[in-house]
Amino acid sequence: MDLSYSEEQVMLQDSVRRFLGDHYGFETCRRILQSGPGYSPEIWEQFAQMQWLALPFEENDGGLGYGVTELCLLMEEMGRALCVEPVLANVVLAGQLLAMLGTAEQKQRWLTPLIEGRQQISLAHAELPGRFDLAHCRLQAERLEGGFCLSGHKSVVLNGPNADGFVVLARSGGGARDASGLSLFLVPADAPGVIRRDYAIHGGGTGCELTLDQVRLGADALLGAEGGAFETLEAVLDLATVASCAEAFGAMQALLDKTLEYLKTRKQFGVPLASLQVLQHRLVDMYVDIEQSRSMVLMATLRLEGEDAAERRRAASACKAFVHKTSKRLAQQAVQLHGGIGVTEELDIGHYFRRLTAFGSLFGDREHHLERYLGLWQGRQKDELLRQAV
Amino acid sequence: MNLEFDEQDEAFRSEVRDWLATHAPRDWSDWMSASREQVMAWEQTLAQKGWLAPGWPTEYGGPGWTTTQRYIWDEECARINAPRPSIFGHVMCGPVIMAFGTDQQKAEHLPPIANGTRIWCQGYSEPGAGSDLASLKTRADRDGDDYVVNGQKIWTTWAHKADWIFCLVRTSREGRPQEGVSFLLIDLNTSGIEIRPIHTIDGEHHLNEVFFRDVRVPMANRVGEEGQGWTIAKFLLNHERSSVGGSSGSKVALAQLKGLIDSDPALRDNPAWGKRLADLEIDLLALEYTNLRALEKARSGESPGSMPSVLKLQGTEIQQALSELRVEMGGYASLPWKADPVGEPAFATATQIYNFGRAFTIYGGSSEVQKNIMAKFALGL
Repeated sequence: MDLSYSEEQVMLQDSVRRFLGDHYGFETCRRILQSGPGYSPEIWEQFAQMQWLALPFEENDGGLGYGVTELCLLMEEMGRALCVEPVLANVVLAGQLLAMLGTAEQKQRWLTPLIEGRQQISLAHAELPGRFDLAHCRLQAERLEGGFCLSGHKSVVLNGPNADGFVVLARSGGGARDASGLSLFLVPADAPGVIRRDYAIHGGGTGCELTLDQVRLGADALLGAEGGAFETLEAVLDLATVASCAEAFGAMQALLDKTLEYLKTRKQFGVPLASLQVLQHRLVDMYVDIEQSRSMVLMATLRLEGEDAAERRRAASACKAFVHKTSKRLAQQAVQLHGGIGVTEELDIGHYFRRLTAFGSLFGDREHHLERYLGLWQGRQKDELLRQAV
Repeated sequence: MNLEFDEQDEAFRSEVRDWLATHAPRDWSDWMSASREQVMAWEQTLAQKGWLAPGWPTEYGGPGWTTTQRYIWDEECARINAPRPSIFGHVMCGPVIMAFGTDQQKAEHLPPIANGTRIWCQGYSEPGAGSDLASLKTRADRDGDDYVVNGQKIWTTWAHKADWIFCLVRTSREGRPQEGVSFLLIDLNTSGIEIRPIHTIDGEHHLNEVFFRDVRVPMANRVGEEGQGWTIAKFLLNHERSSVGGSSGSKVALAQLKGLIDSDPALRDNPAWGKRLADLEIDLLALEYTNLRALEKARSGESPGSMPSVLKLQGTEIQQALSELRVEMGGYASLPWKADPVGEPAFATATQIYNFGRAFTIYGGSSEVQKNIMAKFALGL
């Protein structure tokens, strides 16, 4: 057991922090958010040049062969800088599915350009009635002569407006909530029958509703085994959950630093607010939440580096259930302690607040992950059900 | 960075597990309410194996364990609910003597702690000095080669079962209150000491008042310089906080509650119980990794910073929440006062533990004091 970062990891974190410190101030962030695509193509290109998009991919796939730890350090720094570049959508969600399931040809067409920053791919998996249940999927995949036909609707596809293609979760067998019978398909954004409705996401980034109206695909569009997508999807969502917790953790640190600074300078009743004990104790509550969240993200990061799927599920859900609680509490305190200025567009505090609010609903909220954690303890997990069904 | 246990760690785990299976007492588990004889017998068994003081280096009779080994030890003790030894000797007084004591003090006091033959208690709080410890008044006046000690200590856990007490006393009334404090080791058999019980709301006798009337203590029993007591106290409080927040006891409680939910349909069928417990288990997981981070820092010689305060604050809140949950889960079974168990034995002491547990966030520096400390040292306020 070893809980300290390597020199290389510390250097990576420093270089991301320095780059974002130099290139990603709050004003830049606001400008980017008001621009069309909701991210900065120039910065994205620089991310690719610095090979940050290549971090968690194997060298065979054109990646750097780093692990979850390095990915989470990148995300933490992005969170601290309020950075809205679509790393989560491309590198984690679509990228990992392609890396884990793609054939050599699929990787060459879809993954290599993603790692090089020349193409963006989004995962379309969520359907609203299922809340956060990954197995809930009605979008149908029918087998046709020489391929498939997909029809149905997906909601809140992250970074969808910027995607050149989609990894779409579809049902090729079983009932609407079965973990078996789920398949993944690669769908070009310009394929006939692909209809998007775009919007911005609270706290930064974009999303879309995606309707597939009898979209016809070749046999080579199937990503992974037909009907067997659930386990890999679940693993990738666990990774995305922990990576987004790392991002939230970065944002939490920025909020404490800024709130502390503000309370030291803001005077009321003739004294700096930071001299009042009741406010000091609130700042300490924020500090404690940060230290405990740091431990939790560390724990989950390390568990996800391992191979054990049961530990991975437990760790990801524990981490999200915890960091959702602490981040919400901390963000509320930060706004409260800033007073009126904390609820304005002008100040970054409100933007961090929005980011952390959105984080809560991403890949399952606290309630969902507590329920899942409890289910894992009581042996109600999906793969158990799968095994019983076989 | 990794969480893997290597072959040596796994071999260590089986050694510890096998040894605990044959040696750990099964008829009691909480040192606080155990008898002196029970605690001493268990401590001596541990001492013979060299495992009584997990944090001690080998030169003083400790096992010299790595962070990982200490973690494994905690896990294995928690797994079978083995009692932890009392903390005043090996967690508190021992490290102080190692860091600040003379060679003679080390020779006189460390072996009996490492052997489990001498039980210690702590004389800090006074009626007028609780959270504001520096205002303590118990005085030690020089007289030849002795100090003459007069005053009163309060909330002294286990004074009635202990052999020695380490005390903060006032040796000067000059300067800042902190500057006039010294650290004394006092044999409880010295004449002029009187110990009176304090009964707490669990109906038990853990705590005492200790009165000193013209108690003669050799100056050789002062640890560190005269006036250095406050520095030593801060050093010690950090040790104490790391252990009182310790997650192993809560892990045991949690495992028991899990078992109760799993085995009782009335609890199992209402998911609210499971969710509350899952929530606490996750809080405990965060605490456990904060604890590991603190241990790792200590081992690499880095200051643990404010982590001991985080551990104390959060650890005691989890302890309280677990005891509260146990009372509520017990329902009617939590009502009888110290009776033979009604129904499930795990609920027999639930209310007592909950009641006494209000002290968790008060002793060892109250939660509010921890927050003051963190405001100052972690946030620079």
